[in-house]
Amino acid sequence: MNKNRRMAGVLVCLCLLFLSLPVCGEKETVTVVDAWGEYVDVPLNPERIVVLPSTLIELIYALGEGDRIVGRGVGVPAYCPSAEDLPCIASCSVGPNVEAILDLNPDLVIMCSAKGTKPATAIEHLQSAGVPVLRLPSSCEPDTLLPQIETLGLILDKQEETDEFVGFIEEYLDLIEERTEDLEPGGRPTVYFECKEYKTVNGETPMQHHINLAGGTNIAAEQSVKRPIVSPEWVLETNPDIIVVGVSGSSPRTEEVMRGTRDDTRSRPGLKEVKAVEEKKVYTISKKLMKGIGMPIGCLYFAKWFHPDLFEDIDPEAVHREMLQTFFDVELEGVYACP
Amino acid sequence: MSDDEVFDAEEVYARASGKKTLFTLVLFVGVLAVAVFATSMGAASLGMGESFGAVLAEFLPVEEVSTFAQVVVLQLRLPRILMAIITGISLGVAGAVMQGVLRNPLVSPYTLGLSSGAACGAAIAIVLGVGVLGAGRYVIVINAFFFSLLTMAIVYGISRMRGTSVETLILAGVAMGYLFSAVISLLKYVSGNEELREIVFWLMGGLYTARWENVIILIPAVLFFTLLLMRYSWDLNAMSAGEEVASSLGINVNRVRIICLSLSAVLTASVIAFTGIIGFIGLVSPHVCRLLIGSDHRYLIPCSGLIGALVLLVSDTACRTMISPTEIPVGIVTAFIGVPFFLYLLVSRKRRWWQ
Repeated sequence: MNKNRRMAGVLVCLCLLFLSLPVCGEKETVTVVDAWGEYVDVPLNPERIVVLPSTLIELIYALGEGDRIVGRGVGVPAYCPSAEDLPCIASCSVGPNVEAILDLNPDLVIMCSAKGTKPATAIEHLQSAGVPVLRLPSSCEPDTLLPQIETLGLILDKQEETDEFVGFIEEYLDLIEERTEDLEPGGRPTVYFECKEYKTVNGETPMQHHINLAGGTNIAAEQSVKRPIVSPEWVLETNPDIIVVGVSGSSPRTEEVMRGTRDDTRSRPGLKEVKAVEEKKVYTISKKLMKGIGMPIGCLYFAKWFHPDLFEDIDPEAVHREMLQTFFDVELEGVYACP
Repeated sequence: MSDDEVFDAEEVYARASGKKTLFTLVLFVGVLAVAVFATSMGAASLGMGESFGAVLAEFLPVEEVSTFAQVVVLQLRLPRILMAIITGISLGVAGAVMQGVLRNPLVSPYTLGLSSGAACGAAIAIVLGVGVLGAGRYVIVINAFFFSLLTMAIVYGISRMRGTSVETLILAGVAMGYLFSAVISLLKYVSGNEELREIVFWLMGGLYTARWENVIILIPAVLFFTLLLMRYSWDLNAMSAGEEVASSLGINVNRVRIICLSLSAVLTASVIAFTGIIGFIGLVSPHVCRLLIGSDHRYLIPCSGLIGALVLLVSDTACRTMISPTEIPVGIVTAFIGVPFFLYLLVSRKRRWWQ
């Protein structure tokens, strides 16, 4: 009995030794650009990838390579239900757990460029353990979405799928830009965007890009704090043409919630007299549509709300549905925006 | 000869209490004046005349005021100003009573774990139950209120087991405070980005959510509990001479202690459930008053409340207007305005304020 167990132990050790041999061998690499614009070599065609930002998980799913992901961060993207079963190896406040990551034996770890000592320490540990780490720019920034897809396409060796996906997104972003770029300043409605009660965004946030692209003017663009809480009376005095309320939550909301939020905003004492409320131009949108892959859809909604006449032929929900069907093979569930 | 002395003592007493009454009145007028001034301050460009006109037009059908001015002043500024006043009053009163009951200068709603309890309740609501905006707001408020009172009950229960000594009560409060802070840390640790931000936000505290519907509930509650607590002033005065003295004067020390503590707990809990944690005021207002008028609780309790209201109102007005339209969390401003003021009193006054 005891002897058998020892034999088994030796066998397991041998197996592990053989398994680890190919890892030591020369691997093909590919050169990509990281979050700081530097060229870095990462393994080509990695089979086991740990991906921390949920927006990047989404992108890998969209390229049809979701089953290469072996570990994820906290967020589970709504369009990738199967990612839920992946082991979660990080937490928002503590950052990535190096031991848990090493335990998954990944060929590549993809993180975003979050600042701070915790991710930095984790990266040091991972690299000294011989695990390549790629840091891509934060997926909340609007101009990083397409380069991110290209980079992932290079690493996963999926040129055709990448082109198709990038083409789909570019088509709509270009369409919005074409129709709004020539608008006179007077033709751009003033927009008040709210992340939570009276908390808005200034001109340095990604939201500025979305509002601007869709042909609107962010009333808080000049504020010095990035996400300031503003005086209700100031909003009232500025009298925005349109109010958009961002609704948070990891899963898509029901129509009831979106409608409730909108009606709550409308009936707030300081907002009742605002033009946007009087003209029934208060909208709610899921924050999911403000970053990553949702961004182009969010911008379509914005464009349609800011300039209904210019975008009469566009149905953002249909585009959203089409994107999910084509690239994720899932149906659109829940409500992401409420007019 | 002895008749003269008695007469003198009475006169001295009358003069001293006259001074204290005057001080209370001055504070009251001060709060009113600042409130009136604050009504005309804000991000919207309304002149003083327009602001006051809007208030007057509500009562006298004389002046024509724009709806804009009316909404800004009546719907936005007034509830917030009132909220600052009643929050300041309740924190100041609760602080004075708690310090008096427990005869310890470091006691405040914060040290007794009430704030941590409320924060923990709010964090639980945020992590487990936030979602629907309307319902969500009240889920947080109710949870915070409930947990705050629960903390007081636990702290008192624990100290009961050891015969209600003051030291056990305070230490149990501090310990519970740490426990709840740990729970908050745990919740922060496991929560996602959105919830984390929400919790941090709540912990900072602020008055920007003030609305008439909250203020209307809070005003009578705060006034009622404050008056109720002032009825125990004599008992608190006797207790400050020591438990034995108080007992020999026929005061049921334990009973007074539990009543005063629970009343101040309800008082604090009901406001911080709406505002989030606003520290410092509960601790410092009583000391400021002791430095200025001594420790007679008949004056100390209302004055401490008024000082609390004054500091919070000034701070909140400053945080509304300093870099308007962006607002600064009130806790930051309270500390920046209140701490130098308190330190100045601390070094400049000769009175031994705590004996």
